[in-house]
Amino acid sequence: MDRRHRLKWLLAAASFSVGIALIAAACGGGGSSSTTTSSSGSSSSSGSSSSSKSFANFRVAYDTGIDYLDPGLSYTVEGWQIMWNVYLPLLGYKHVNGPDGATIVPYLADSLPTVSSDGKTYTLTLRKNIKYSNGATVKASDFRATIERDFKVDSPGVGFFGNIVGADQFSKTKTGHISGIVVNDSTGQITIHLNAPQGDFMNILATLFAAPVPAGTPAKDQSTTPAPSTGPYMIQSYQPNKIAIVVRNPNYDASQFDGNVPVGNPDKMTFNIIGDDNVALQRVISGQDDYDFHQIPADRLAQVQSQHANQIKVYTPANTYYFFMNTRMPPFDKLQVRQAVNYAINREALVRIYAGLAQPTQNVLPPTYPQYKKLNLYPYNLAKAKQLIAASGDKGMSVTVWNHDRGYDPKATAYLTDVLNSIGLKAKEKIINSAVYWTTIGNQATKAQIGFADWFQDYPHPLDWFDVLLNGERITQTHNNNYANFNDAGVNRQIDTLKKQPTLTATVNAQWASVDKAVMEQAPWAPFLNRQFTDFFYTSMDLSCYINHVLYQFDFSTICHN
Amino acid sequence: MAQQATEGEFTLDTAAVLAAGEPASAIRGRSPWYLAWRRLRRNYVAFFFLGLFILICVACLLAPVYAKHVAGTGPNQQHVLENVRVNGKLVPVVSSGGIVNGKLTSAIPIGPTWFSGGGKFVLGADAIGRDVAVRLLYGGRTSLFIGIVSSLICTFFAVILALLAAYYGGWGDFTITRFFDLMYAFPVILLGIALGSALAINGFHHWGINIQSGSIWIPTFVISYVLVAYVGRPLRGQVLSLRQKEFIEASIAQGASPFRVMFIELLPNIMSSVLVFFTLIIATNILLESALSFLGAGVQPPTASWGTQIADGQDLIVTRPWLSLAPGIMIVLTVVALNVFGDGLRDALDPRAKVRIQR
Amino acid sequence: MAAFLVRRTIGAILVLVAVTFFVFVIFIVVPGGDPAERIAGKNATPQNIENIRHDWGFDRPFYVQYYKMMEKMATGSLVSYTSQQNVVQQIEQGMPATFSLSIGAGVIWLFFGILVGVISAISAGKFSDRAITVLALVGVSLPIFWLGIVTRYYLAEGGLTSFFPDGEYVPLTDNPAQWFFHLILPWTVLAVGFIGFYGRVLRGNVLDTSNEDYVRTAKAKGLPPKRIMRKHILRLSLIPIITLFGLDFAGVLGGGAILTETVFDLHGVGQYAAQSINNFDLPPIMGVTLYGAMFIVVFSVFVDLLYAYLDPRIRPT
Repeated sequence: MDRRHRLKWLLAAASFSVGIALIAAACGGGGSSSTTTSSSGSSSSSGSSSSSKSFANFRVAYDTGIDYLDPGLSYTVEGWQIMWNVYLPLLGYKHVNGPDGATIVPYLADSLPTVSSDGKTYTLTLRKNIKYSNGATVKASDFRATIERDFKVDSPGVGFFGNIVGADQFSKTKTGHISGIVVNDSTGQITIHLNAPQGDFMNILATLFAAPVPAGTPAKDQSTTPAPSTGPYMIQSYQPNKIAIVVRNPNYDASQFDGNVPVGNPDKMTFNIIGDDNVALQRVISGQDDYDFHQIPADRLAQVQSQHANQIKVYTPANTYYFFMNTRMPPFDKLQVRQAVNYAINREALVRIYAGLAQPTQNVLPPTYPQYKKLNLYPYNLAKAKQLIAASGDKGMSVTVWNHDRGYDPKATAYLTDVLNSIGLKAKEKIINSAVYWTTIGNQATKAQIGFADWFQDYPHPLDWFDVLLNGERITQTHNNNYANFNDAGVNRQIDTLKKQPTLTATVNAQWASVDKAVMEQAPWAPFLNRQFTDFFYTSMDLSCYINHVLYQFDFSTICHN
Repeated sequence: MAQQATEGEFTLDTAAVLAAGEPASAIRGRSPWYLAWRRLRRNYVAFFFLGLFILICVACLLAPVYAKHVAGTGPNQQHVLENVRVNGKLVPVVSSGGIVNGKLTSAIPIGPTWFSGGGKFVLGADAIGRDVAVRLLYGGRTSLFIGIVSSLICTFFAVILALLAAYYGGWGDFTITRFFDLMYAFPVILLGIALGSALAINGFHHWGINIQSGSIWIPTFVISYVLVAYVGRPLRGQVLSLRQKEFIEASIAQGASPFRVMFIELLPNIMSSVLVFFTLIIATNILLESALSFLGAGVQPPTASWGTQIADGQDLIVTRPWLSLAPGIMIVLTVVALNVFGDGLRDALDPRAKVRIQR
Repeated sequence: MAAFLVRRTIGAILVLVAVTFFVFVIFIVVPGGDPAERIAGKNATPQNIENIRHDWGFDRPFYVQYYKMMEKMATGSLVSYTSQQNVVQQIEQGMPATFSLSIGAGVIWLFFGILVGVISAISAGKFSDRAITVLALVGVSLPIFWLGIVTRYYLAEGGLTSFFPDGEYVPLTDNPAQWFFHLILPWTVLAVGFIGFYGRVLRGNVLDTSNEDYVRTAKAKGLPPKRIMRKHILRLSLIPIITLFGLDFAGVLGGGAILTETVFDLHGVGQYAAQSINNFDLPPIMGVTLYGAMFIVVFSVFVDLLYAYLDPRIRPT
C-alpha cells in the first residue's frame, strides 16, 4: 500500500473515531450533576441551640439499602433511620433506650390526639409557629396534602391510611381531597375520621409517611431534591449509591417540642454508601468512618472482639424469623404435621446457623414487646415429631420448601429440609431470586406448602404482627402477607376486638399475649429465632451516649464524641 | 570403508541385488488420524494431564462411595449440633456462638480434620455442618456434567450452523452470521447471567420442553447457547475456505446431495478443529458455570457445584479458608488439565504445524 | 471506503436495536414476577397496585413498553424499578471505576501478554518456554472471582497480610495515590487470564510466521535476527493480537468485567449490571446492555479499519 493510500485509511479511522466521540458527548452530556442541594433558608444564623456535646461530623459507613430519601416513599430501615431526625410527624416516639421508646409523644401536634368515644374520630392541634427548614410555617393543610401526596406517588405506605374516610375514593381518582381529613389552618386543628376504630392509629400517625411536607411538594420522588424538613436536621444532598449529607436544620427550635426531640450532637452527618461488609468494617477500624452500619461479618467477629471489644454493641430489634406452613395445602392442613415440624426443629441449631447472633424463640411476637410472654409449647423432640407424622398418615408425602437466595436465610431451609426428611416427609428445596420471592409466596397460585419468612416491625404494636400476618379476614389472592393462610375464627374475633382498643393497657397487653399462645397452639408457623445485630464504632466515639431505639435502632443524633 | 571393500566391490548394482533378496514390505498409507495419534502418544505431558482429568472425573463419579464409606454422610445432611471425635477429643461440628463469658463470638464450623476424625469432615464442615469433602465430590459431578454436556450440545449446534451457513451461502449464511454477530455483541457473562437468572425462576416451559427451575439442565442449556457463536464463527470460516476447493466442486457437479456434501465431504475435514474446540470449550464451560453459579445465576442451591461452594465459603474466608480454596483448586486443576491436553491435541492434529516441540 | 463506513454504521445500529430487543424479550416474556407488585411493597392495596401498573405503563402491550423504554433511554430519563434512580446517571457514576479498571488492566495485559509471547517464542522448546507455557495455562485456568477472593484474603487489609487496601474504588480526583493502590489487585486479577491467553496466541503466530518463506529469505539475505523479528515477524504476528485486544478491551470497558468489579466492590458499570439482573430491574439492564453493546460495536469497526491499515493484504468488507 502506498503512502497516499495509507494516509486515506488513517484519515478514515480518525474521522470515524472523532465522529463517534462527538455523538457520545452529545448524548451523554445530557445528564446533569446529581448533587443537588435542598432549598435551605437563611443558614447564616444558627437558630437552634446546639447541645454541649456537639461535634463537627459524624461519618457513617452506610449500606446500599436506601430506597428513597423521601418520607412519603421510603420503606426501608436505611431510609427511616436517617429521616426520623429530619421529618417529624404529628406524633412520634421518645428518643430513649428500651421498651419506653415505644411510648408515643406529641411531635408537631401539641398533645396526644383526643379520641372520640366510638374510636372513629381523632382530633389534634398543630403547635404554633413551627418552621420548615426553608423558613415557611407548617400549616394544618400540609398534613392533608402530605397524605394525599402519598396516594399520588403510589407510596408503599398507603395501605396504612386505608381506614380514613374517603381514602379509597381518593386512591381511585387522585383528585380533590380526602374527605375524612378536616383541617383548619387558622386554628391549626386537624380532625381525622375513620371508617372503623383502629387501635394502632396513633402509631400510624407516627410513621414517616404521615410526616408533613409543604403542600406544594411535587408528587414524585424527591430523594435528590429533598423536601424541606421540620426536624433537628435536614438533608443537604443525596447522590444515590454514593453519599448522603445531613446537616442541622437552621430553623429548628428544640424548645418548641417539650424535649421530645433532642437537638442532636453532630453538626453534620455524612453517610458514605459502601457495598461490601468487610470494606465498611475496615473503614471504621482505621477511623475513616465513625460508625459501621453494616453487620460485623461473622468471620471477623472474633478478631474484632479481641481488639476492639468496647466498641461493639449488640442489640435485638423487633423481628421474628419463622417457617410458614400453608394451612390450605396438604400435609400442612393437619395440625399434627404442623406441630411435628415445631417439635422437630432444634432452634439452637438454627441459632448456630445464623452464626450465633440470635435468640431462639417459639413466639410470634419478639421478646422486646411488653405483650411478649415466653412460650415453650414445642420443646425439641425428634422422636415425638416422627410419631406425629406417622400418626397423621402423611408419611412420605412430597414437600417443597421455599426460600430466597440472599444472606444466611437459604441455610435455614437447608437445615429444615434435612430435618423434614428425617421425620418421614420427602422434602426438597426451591430457592428463588430474592427480588421475586415475596410476591411469589404471596400468590395463592404458587401453592407454596412451607417456606422461610421473616418480619421486622413497621411500628411497635401487636396489630402490626397479628393483623397483617395472621388475620384470616385479610387473606388475599395475590400480595398476601398471611403466608400460612391462617384463618381461625376465634383468633380473628380477638384481633378485631383488640383492634378497637385505643391504648395498650396492661389488660390489653395480657390479651395480646393470649392471642400469641392461641396462634401457636394451632402452629401455622414454626418461629425459630429473633435475630441480633451489631453496631460498631470507632474508638473516638463515646458509647455512654449510645441510644438504641425500639423502632429506629441506633439514634444518630444523640451519639457523642470522647 | 576400506575394510568393507574386501567384501567385493560394493556398487549400486550389488545393493540392488541384495535388496531384491529382502522380503518386500507393503507400502501402507497411514491415515492422518493414525499419524496424529502417533504424535499425540509421544506427548507425555499431554497424556499426563489427560490422566489427571480422568482421575478427577472418576473421583467425582465415586462420590457416593466416598460419602457412604469414608465420611458417613450425604452432601445435604446437616450435623449442626453434633460432635465429632478428633484425636480423641470431642469437637462440635459447628461451635455455639453468642455471648460466651462476656465475649461475643460467632458460631464457627469445624476446620479440616485431615483424616484424624476417622474420615469425617476431612476438609471440615460448612456453616450448616455439611461435610465439605463430600460436597466437593458431588459438586464436581455437577460441574463436570454441565461442562461436558454443554460442550457436546454447543459443538453439535455450532457444527450444524457452520455447515449450513457455509454450504448454502446467500440468505441462510447472512442470517446465521448476523445471529453470530448478535451473540458476539453481548459480553458472554452478562448474557449468561441474564438468561440464567430469568430461567431460574420458573424454568423453561416452551415448545414442548419442560424443565423445572432447579434442574441443572438450565445452566447447561444457557452455557451452550451463549458460546455457540464463539465456536460457530471460526468453524464457519474454515468451512468457507474448504467450500472453494475443487473436490467439493467436483462432488457437487457429480450430483451429491447437500447432506452428503456437508456431512461426508466437508465435516471430516474440519473434524480435527472440532475435536480441539470441543476439548477446550469444556474448560471454558467449567469456568463459565462456576462464575454463573457464584453470581447465583447458574446452579441453584441446594445442588452443590464448585461455583456455589466458593460463593458459600466467601463468608468464612478468614476463619475457614478451605471452604473456598478447595473447590477453587479443583476447578484450576481440571481446567489446566483440559487446556494442556487440548493444546497437545491441537499440536498432534495439525499437520501443517511447522514447529513441533519434539521430546 | 465511505461505503464500508456507512454499511458498518447501519449494521451497528441494527445490532444495537436487536440487542436491546433481545434483552427486553428475555425479561418480559420469561416470567419474572409482576414488576408492579414488586414496586408496590408489602402493605399495598389492590388499588395501589393497579395505579402503579397504570402509571408505569405495565398494562400496555409489550412493543409499546419497549418503545417507551427506548424513548426514555434516549432522553436520559429512564428510571429503575427499585428506588426510581436515574439509569443514565447511575451508569455515569460507575464509568470512572470501570474505565480505570479497564484501561489499567488493558495496558498491563497487552504489555505483558506481548512480552510473554515473544519470550516464549524466541526460546521455543527450551525450559523457559515450557515454564512460561505452564504459567500461562494456569493463568488462563483460574476462575477470576476465586482469584479475587483469594488475593483479598491473603494480600488485602483485614486478611492475613495488609499489603493492599481491601477493595473499593477511590476516585482519581480525590486521591491519586490511593486510587492507584486500590486498583493494583483488581488490575492484576483481571489481567492474569488475558496475559496467559495472549501470550499463547502470540507465540503460535510468531512460530508460524517464522517459518514463512519470506522470513527464510530475509535470513538468507543476512539480515540481523533482531531486525527480522522486529520488522517482519512481530509486525505481522501482532495484527491478530490487536484485533483480539480491541474486542476484549471493548468488552471490559462496556461493563464486562463483572466478576472483578463485584469481588472488589468497585461499583463500576459491570457491578451495576450484575445487581440489576439479580433484582430483575429491567430499565438498568437495558441501559447497561446498550452501553456495553455500543462499545463492542464501535470498537469492532475501529479494529477492522486498523487491521486494514496494518495489513495491506486485507480489505475491509
